[in-house]
Amino acid sequence: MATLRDIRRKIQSIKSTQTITRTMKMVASSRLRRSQDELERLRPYAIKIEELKDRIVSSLPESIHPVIKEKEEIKNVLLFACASDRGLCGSFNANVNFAIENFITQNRENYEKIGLYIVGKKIRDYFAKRGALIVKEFVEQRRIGRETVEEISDDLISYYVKGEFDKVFAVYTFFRSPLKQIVTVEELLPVKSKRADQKIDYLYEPDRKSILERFIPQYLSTRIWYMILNSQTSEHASRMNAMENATNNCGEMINFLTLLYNKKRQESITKEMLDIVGGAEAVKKTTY
Amino acid sequence: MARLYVEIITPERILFQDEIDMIEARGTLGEFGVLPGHIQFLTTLEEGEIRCVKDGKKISISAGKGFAEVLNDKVLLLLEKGEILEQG
Repeated sequence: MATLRDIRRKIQSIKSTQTITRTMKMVASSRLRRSQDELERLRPYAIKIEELKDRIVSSLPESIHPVIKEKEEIKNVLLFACASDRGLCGSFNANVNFAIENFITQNRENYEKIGLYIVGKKIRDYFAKRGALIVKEFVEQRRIGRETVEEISDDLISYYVKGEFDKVFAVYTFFRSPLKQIVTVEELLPVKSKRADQKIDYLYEPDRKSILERFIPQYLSTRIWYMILNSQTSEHASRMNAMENATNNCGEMINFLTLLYNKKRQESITKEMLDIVGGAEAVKKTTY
Repeated sequence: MARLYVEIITPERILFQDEIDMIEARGTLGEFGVLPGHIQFLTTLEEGEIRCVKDGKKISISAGKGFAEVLNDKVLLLLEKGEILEQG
Protein backbone atom coordinates (compact mmCIF):
# COMPACT_ATOMS: atom_id res chain seq x y z
CA MET A 1 0.00 0.00 0.00
CA ALA A 2 1.22 3.48 -0.89
CA THR A 3 2.08 5.60 2.09
CA LEU A 4 1.93 9.37 2.19
CA ARG A 5 5.63 9.61 1.61
CA ASP A 6 5.49 7.33 -1.45
CA ILE A 7 2.85 9.49 -3.04
CA ARG A 8 4.78 12.66 -2.34
CA ARG A 9 7.88 11.15 -3.93
CA LYS A 10 5.90 10.09 -7.00
CA ILE A 11 4.49 13.60 -7.41
CA GLN A 12 7.97 15.07 -7.23
CA SER A 13 9.28 12.67 -9.85
CA ILE A 14 6.43 13.41 -12.26
CA LYS A 15 6.95 17.12 -11.75
CA SER A 16 10.58 16.86 -12.83
CA THR A 17 9.57 14.81 -15.88
CA GLN A 18 7.06 17.52 -16.74
CA THR A 19 9.79 20.17 -16.56
CA ILE A 20 11.87 18.18 -19.02
CA THR A 21 9.05 17.61 -21.49
CA ARG A 22 8.01 21.25 -21.28
CA THR A 23 11.56 22.36 -22.05
CA MET A 24 11.80 19.94 -24.96
CA LYS A 25 8.55 21.29 -26.32
CA MET A 26 9.86 24.84 -26.21
CA VAL A 27 13.11 23.86 -27.89
CA ALA A 28 11.20 22.00 -30.60
CA SER A 29 8.88 24.92 -31.22
CA SER A 30 11.73 27.39 -31.67
CA ARG A 31 13.45 24.94 -34.04
CA LEU A 32 10.18 24.49 -35.88
CA ARG A 33 9.91 28.21 -36.45
CA ARG A 34 13.43 28.40 -37.87
CA SER A 35 12.98 25.32 -40.01
CA GLN A 36 9.62 26.49 -41.31
CA ASP A 37 11.13 29.83 -42.27
CA GLU A 38 13.85 28.07 -44.25
CA LEU A 39 11.24 25.91 -45.96
CA GLU A 40 9.15 28.94 -46.93
CA ARG A 41 12.19 30.61 -48.46
CA LEU A 42 12.99 27.64 -50.66
CA ARG A 43 9.37 26.98 -51.68
CA PRO A 44 9.03 29.48 -54.58
CA TYR A 45 12.28 28.25 -56.12
CA ALA A 46 11.27 24.60 -55.71
CA ILE A 47 7.87 25.21 -57.29
CA LYS A 48 9.27 27.20 -60.22
CA ILE A 49 12.01 24.70 -60.99
CA GLU A 50 9.41 21.92 -60.89
CA GLU A 51 7.25 23.79 -63.43
CA LEU A 52 10.25 24.52 -65.61
CA LYS A 53 11.23 20.84 -65.47
CA ASP A 54 7.73 19.87 -66.68
CA ARG A 55 8.01 22.23 -69.64
CA ILE A 56 11.57 21.27 -70.58
CA VAL A 57 11.16 17.51 -70.25
CA SER A 58 7.92 17.39 -72.23
CA SER A 59 9.50 19.45 -75.03
CA LEU A 60 12.49 17.14 -75.46
CA PRO A 61 12.77 13.62 -76.87
CA GLU A 62 13.54 10.93 -74.28
CA SER A 63 16.71 9.87 -76.04
CA ILE A 64 18.53 13.10 -75.31
CA HIS A 65 19.55 12.29 -71.76
CA PRO A 66 19.53 8.92 -69.91
CA VAL A 67 17.93 10.46 -66.81
CA ILE A 68 14.68 11.34 -68.60
CA LYS A 69 14.47 7.99 -70.35
CA GLU A 70 12.35 5.32 -68.74
CA LYS A 71 14.03 1.91 -68.54
CA GLU A 72 12.36 -0.89 -70.41
CA GLU A 73 12.93 -3.51 -67.78
CA ILE A 74 12.70 -2.55 -64.14
CA LYS A 75 14.58 -4.99 -61.94
CA ASN A 76 16.30 -3.01 -59.22
CA VAL A 77 14.60 -0.26 -57.30
CA LEU A 78 16.09 2.24 -54.90
CA LEU A 79 14.20 3.94 -52.10
CA PHE A 80 15.50 7.26 -50.87
CA ALA A 81 14.19 7.49 -47.32
CA CYS A 82 14.38 10.51 -45.11
CA ALA A 83 13.54 10.81 -41.40
CA SER A 84 15.35 11.87 -38.23
CA ASP A 85 18.32 10.89 -36.08
CA ARG A 86 16.53 11.32 -32.80
CA GLY A 87 13.44 9.90 -31.19
CA LEU A 88 10.89 11.35 -28.79
CA CYS A 89 8.93 12.81 -31.66
CA GLY A 90 5.74 10.81 -31.57
CA SER A 91 5.11 8.48 -34.48
CA PHE A 92 7.25 10.52 -36.90
CA ASN A 93 9.93 7.90 -37.54
CA ALA A 94 7.55 4.97 -37.12
CA ASN A 95 5.30 6.34 -39.86
CA VAL A 96 8.17 6.53 -42.33
CA ASN A 97 9.35 3.06 -41.33
CA PHE A 98 5.86 1.75 -41.83
CA ALA A 99 5.56 3.32 -45.28
CA ILE A 100 8.89 1.79 -46.37
CA GLU A 101 8.00 -1.62 -45.02
CA ASN A 102 4.67 -1.46 -46.77
CA PHE A 103 6.34 -0.55 -50.02
CA ILE A 104 8.79 -3.43 -49.69
CA THR A 105 6.15 -6.06 -48.92
CA GLN A 106 3.91 -4.83 -51.72
CA ASN A 107 6.66 -4.77 -54.33
CA ARG A 108 8.83 -7.67 -53.30
CA GLU A 109 7.37 -9.81 -56.07
CA ASN A 110 7.71 -7.17 -58.79
CA TYR A 111 11.37 -6.32 -58.43
CA GLU A 112 14.54 -8.31 -58.05
CA LYS A 113 16.19 -6.03 -55.54
CA ILE A 114 15.00 -3.13 -53.40
CA GLY A 115 17.77 -0.95 -51.99
CA LEU A 116 17.56 1.74 -49.35
CA TYR A 117 19.35 5.06 -49.41
CA ILE A 118 18.89 6.45 -45.94
CA VAL A 119 19.04 9.81 -44.21
CA GLY A 120 18.43 9.47 -40.46
CA LYS A 121 19.63 7.13 -37.75
CA LYS A 122 16.23 5.86 -36.70
CA ILE A 123 15.34 4.28 -40.03
CA ARG A 124 18.90 2.96 -40.39
CA ASP A 125 18.65 1.14 -37.06
CA TYR A 126 15.23 -0.25 -37.86
CA PHE A 127 16.13 -1.67 -41.26
CA ALA A 128 19.66 -2.76 -40.37
CA LYS A 129 18.09 -5.00 -37.73
CA ARG A 130 15.73 -6.47 -40.30
CA GLY A 131 18.49 -7.14 -42.79
CA ALA A 132 17.35 -4.81 -45.55
CA LEU A 133 19.78 -3.83 -48.29
CA ILE A 134 21.22 -0.45 -47.29
CA VAL A 135 23.13 1.15 -50.12
CA LYS A 136 24.27 4.27 -48.32
CA GLU A 137 23.38 6.12 -45.15
CA PHE A 138 23.71 9.59 -43.73
CA VAL A 139 23.55 9.32 -39.95
CA GLU A 140 24.24 11.76 -37.12
CA GLN A 141 24.64 14.73 -39.41
CA ARG A 142 24.31 17.74 -37.19
CA ARG A 143 23.22 19.86 -40.08
CA ILE A 144 22.43 18.69 -43.57
CA GLY A 145 23.89 21.28 -45.91
CA ARG A 146 23.93 21.95 -49.59
CA GLU A 147 27.03 19.76 -50.12
CA THR A 148 25.35 16.69 -48.63
CA VAL A 149 22.32 17.26 -50.81
CA GLU A 150 24.48 17.54 -53.92
CA GLU A 151 26.29 14.35 -52.95
CA ILE A 152 22.97 12.52 -52.62
CA SER A 153 21.70 13.83 -55.93
CA ASP A 154 24.94 12.92 -57.75
CA ASP A 155 24.81 9.44 -56.23
CA LEU A 156 21.24 8.86 -57.32
CA ILE A 157 21.92 10.07 -60.86
CA SER A 158 25.00 7.89 -61.23
CA TYR A 159 23.17 4.80 -59.89
CA TYR A 160 20.46 5.40 -62.46
CA VAL A 161 22.73 6.16 -65.39
CA LYS A 162 25.09 3.26 -64.67
CA GLY A 163 22.12 0.93 -64.43
CA GLU A 164 22.59 -0.19 -60.83
CA PHE A 165 19.03 0.85 -60.19
CA ASP A 166 16.26 1.25 -62.75
CA LYS A 167 13.90 3.41 -60.72
CA VAL A 168 14.29 5.64 -57.69
CA PHE A 169 11.51 6.47 -55.26
CA ALA A 170 11.56 8.90 -52.35
CA VAL A 171 9.85 8.43 -49.00
CA TYR A 172 9.63 11.48 -46.77
CA THR A 173 7.25 13.39 -44.54
CA PHE A 174 5.57 16.32 -46.21
CA PHE A 175 4.95 19.29 -43.94
CA ARG A 176 1.38 20.44 -44.52
CA SER A 177 0.94 22.41 -41.31
CA PRO A 178 2.27 22.27 -37.72
CA LEU A 179 -0.61 19.91 -36.95
CA LYS A 180 -0.59 17.82 -40.09
CA GLN A 181 2.32 15.98 -41.67
CA ILE A 182 1.87 13.43 -44.41
CA VAL A 183 4.21 10.57 -45.27
CA THR A 184 4.65 10.67 -49.03
CA VAL A 185 6.08 8.22 -51.56
CA GLU A 186 7.13 9.85 -54.84
CA GLU A 187 8.93 8.79 -57.97
CA LEU A 188 12.27 10.56 -58.22
CA LEU A 189 13.99 9.01 -61.23
CA PRO A 190 13.53 8.85 -64.17
CA VAL A 191 12.62 12.51 -64.35
CA LYS A 192 9.20 12.71 -65.95
CA SER A 193 6.94 15.53 -66.96
CA LYS A 194 3.55 15.80 -65.32
CA ARG A 195 2.25 17.57 -68.42
CA ALA A 196 3.35 15.54 -71.39
CA ASP A 197 0.97 17.39 -73.74
CA GLN A 198 2.77 20.69 -73.29
CA LYS A 199 5.32 20.83 -76.08
CA ILE A 200 7.16 24.11 -76.52
CA ASP A 201 9.50 24.82 -79.38
CA TYR A 202 12.28 26.59 -77.57
CA LEU A 203 15.34 28.24 -78.99
CA TYR A 204 18.09 26.50 -77.03
CA GLU A 205 21.37 28.12 -76.16
CA PRO A 206 23.96 26.54 -76.22
CA ASP A 207 22.13 23.30 -77.09
CA ARG A 208 19.54 20.95 -75.60
CA LYS A 209 21.98 18.44 -74.21
CA SER A 210 24.25 20.84 -72.36
CA ILE A 211 21.30 22.69 -70.89
CA LEU A 212 19.84 19.44 -69.63
CA GLU A 213 23.17 18.28 -68.29
CA ARG A 214 23.27 21.32 -66.06
CA PHE A 215 19.58 21.50 -65.32
CA ILE A 216 18.95 17.93 -64.17
CA PRO A 217 21.45 17.89 -61.23
CA GLN A 218 20.27 21.33 -60.11
CA TYR A 219 16.65 20.24 -60.31
CA LEU A 220 17.21 16.98 -58.46
CA SER A 221 19.29 18.49 -55.68
CA THR A 222 16.66 21.20 -55.18
CA ARG A 223 13.98 18.58 -54.96
CA ILE A 224 15.96 16.51 -52.45
CA TRP A 225 16.80 19.60 -50.43
CA TYR A 226 13.12 20.49 -50.38
CA MET A 227 12.24 16.99 -49.19
CA ILE A 228 14.83 17.07 -46.43
CA LEU A 229 13.64 20.47 -45.26
CA ASN A 230 10.06 19.22 -45.26
CA SER A 231 11.12 16.22 -43.26
CA GLN A 232 13.07 18.28 -40.72
CA THR A 233 10.23 20.73 -40.26
CA SER A 234 7.81 17.84 -39.80
CA GLU A 235 10.12 16.29 -37.23
CA HIS A 236 10.15 19.43 -35.11
CA ALA A 237 6.38 19.85 -35.42
CA SER A 238 5.84 16.24 -34.51
CA ARG A 239 8.16 16.49 -31.52
CA MET A 240 6.46 19.66 -30.37
CA ASN A 241 3.07 17.95 -30.41
CA ALA A 242 4.37 14.84 -28.70
CA MET A 243 5.99 16.85 -25.94
CA GLU A 244 2.91 19.01 -25.51
CA ASN A 245 0.85 15.85 -24.98
CA ALA A 246 3.42 14.47 -22.56
CA THR A 247 3.36 17.70 -20.55
CA ASN A 248 -0.45 17.63 -20.41
CA ASN A 249 -0.47 14.01 -19.31
CA CYS A 250 2.01 14.80 -16.55
CA GLY A 251 -0.29 17.58 -15.37
CA GLU A 252 -3.24 15.20 -15.27
CA MET A 253 -1.28 12.65 -13.28
CA ILE A 254 -0.11 15.29 -10.83
CA ASN A 255 -3.69 16.43 -10.26
CA PHE A 256 -4.85 12.89 -9.64
CA LEU A 257 -2.01 12.13 -7.24
CA THR A 258 -2.41 15.41 -5.36
CA LEU A 259 -6.07 14.56 -4.79
CA LEU A 260 -5.10 11.11 -3.55
CA TYR A 261 -2.42 12.61 -1.33
CA ASN A 262 -4.84 15.08 0.28
CA LYS A 263 -7.42 12.36 0.86
CA LYS A 264 -4.81 10.17 2.53
CA ARG A 265 -3.60 13.04 4.68
CA GLN A 266 -7.16 13.89 5.75
CA GLU A 267 -7.77 10.24 6.54
CA SER A 268 -4.76 10.00 8.81
CA ILE A 269 -5.67 13.25 10.60
CA THR A 270 -9.20 11.94 11.22
CA LYS A 271 -7.74 8.70 12.55
CA GLU A 272 -5.44 10.55 14.94
CA MET A 273 -8.31 12.75 16.16
CA LEU A 274 -10.40 9.68 16.83
CA ASP A 275 -7.54 8.15 18.77
CA ILE A 276 -7.13 11.29 20.89
CA VAL A 277 -10.86 11.62 21.59
CA GLY A 278 -11.12 7.92 22.40
CA GLY A 279 -8.11 8.14 24.70
CA ALA A 280 -9.53 11.18 26.50
CA GLU A 281 -12.88 9.42 27.03
CA ALA A 282 -11.08 6.43 28.47
CA VAL A 283 -9.08 8.62 30.89
CA LYS A 284 -12.32 10.42 31.97
CA LYS A 285 -13.97 7.10 32.77
CA THR A 286 -11.13 5.85 35.01
CA THR A 287 -11.26 8.97 37.27
CA TYR A 288 -14.79 8.14 38.41
CA MET B 1 2.84 48.87 -74.77
CA ALA B 2 3.51 45.23 -74.06
CA ARG B 3 5.77 44.51 -71.19
CA LEU B 4 7.79 41.64 -69.86
CA TYR B 5 6.81 39.98 -66.63
CA VAL B 6 10.07 39.06 -64.93
CA GLU B 7 10.57 36.74 -61.99
CA ILE B 8 14.05 36.28 -60.56
CA ILE B 9 14.15 33.58 -57.90
CA THR B 10 16.97 32.13 -55.81
CA PRO B 11 16.79 29.29 -53.26
CA GLU B 12 16.98 31.98 -50.59
CA ARG B 13 14.15 34.21 -51.68
CA ILE B 14 12.19 35.83 -54.50
CA LEU B 15 14.71 38.42 -55.60
CA PHE B 16 12.69 40.39 -58.10
CA GLN B 17 9.18 40.22 -59.48
CA ASP B 18 7.85 42.99 -61.68
CA GLU B 19 6.76 44.14 -65.13
CA ILE B 20 9.60 45.73 -67.02
CA ASP B 21 10.48 46.96 -70.50
CA MET B 22 13.73 45.16 -71.14
CA ILE B 23 16.16 42.74 -69.54
CA GLU B 24 19.77 41.88 -70.28
CA ALA B 25 21.74 38.97 -68.86
CA ARG B 26 24.85 36.90 -69.42
CA GLY B 27 24.19 33.52 -71.01
CA THR B 28 26.70 30.77 -71.60
CA LEU B 29 27.22 31.92 -75.20
CA GLY B 30 27.37 35.60 -74.34
CA GLU B 31 25.21 38.52 -73.38
CA PHE B 32 21.64 38.62 -74.56
CA GLY B 33 18.76 41.02 -74.23
CA VAL B 34 15.05 40.33 -74.15
CA LEU B 35 12.32 42.69 -75.29
CA PRO B 36 8.56 42.00 -75.39
CA GLY B 37 7.65 39.65 -78.23
CA HIS B 38 10.82 37.58 -77.87
CA ILE B 39 10.83 34.00 -79.19
CA GLN B 40 10.53 31.11 -76.70
CA PHE B 41 14.02 30.81 -75.38
CA LEU B 42 15.91 28.63 -72.94
CA THR B 43 19.49 29.13 -71.83
CA THR B 44 21.97 28.61 -69.04
CA LEU B 45 23.27 31.68 -67.26
CA GLU B 46 26.81 32.39 -66.15
CA GLU B 47 27.90 34.58 -63.27
CA GLY B 48 27.51 38.21 -64.16
CA GLU B 49 25.25 41.20 -64.09
CA ILE B 50 21.55 41.28 -64.94
CA ARG B 51 20.16 44.62 -66.02
CA CYS B 52 16.49 45.44 -66.16
CA VAL B 53 14.99 48.64 -67.53
CA LYS B 54 11.65 49.88 -66.30
CA ASP B 55 10.30 53.31 -67.33
CA GLY B 56 13.81 54.40 -68.23
CA LYS B 57 15.13 53.40 -64.83
CA LYS B 58 17.83 50.80 -64.54
CA ILE B 59 17.84 47.97 -62.02
CA SER B 60 21.08 46.10 -61.61
CA ILE B 61 21.42 42.64 -60.10
CA SER B 62 24.56 40.64 -59.50
CA ALA B 63 23.82 37.04 -60.34
CA GLY B 64 25.31 33.58 -59.92
CA LYS B 65 24.85 30.72 -62.34
CA GLY B 66 21.38 29.68 -63.28
CA PHE B 67 18.76 29.23 -65.96
CA ALA B 68 16.64 31.60 -67.99
CA GLU B 69 13.40 30.88 -69.77
CA VAL B 70 11.44 33.25 -71.98
CA LEU B 71 7.89 32.20 -72.75
CA ASN B 72 5.05 34.44 -73.97
CA ASP B 73 6.53 37.63 -72.56
CA LYS B 74 7.16 35.94 -69.24
CA VAL B 75 10.79 35.70 -68.20
CA LEU B 76 11.79 33.26 -65.51
CA LEU B 77 15.29 33.38 -64.08
CA LEU B 78 16.34 30.75 -61.58
CA LEU B 79 19.66 31.68 -60.00
CA GLU B 80 21.90 29.90 -57.54
CA LYS B 81 22.41 33.21 -55.79
CA GLY B 82 21.90 36.88 -56.44
CA GLU B 83 21.75 40.32 -54.94
CA ILE B 84 20.10 43.55 -56.05
CA LEU B 85 22.86 46.12 -56.49
CA GLU B 86 21.01 49.29 -57.32
CA GLN B 87 17.46 50.24 -58.05
CA GLY B 88 16.07 53.31 -59.77
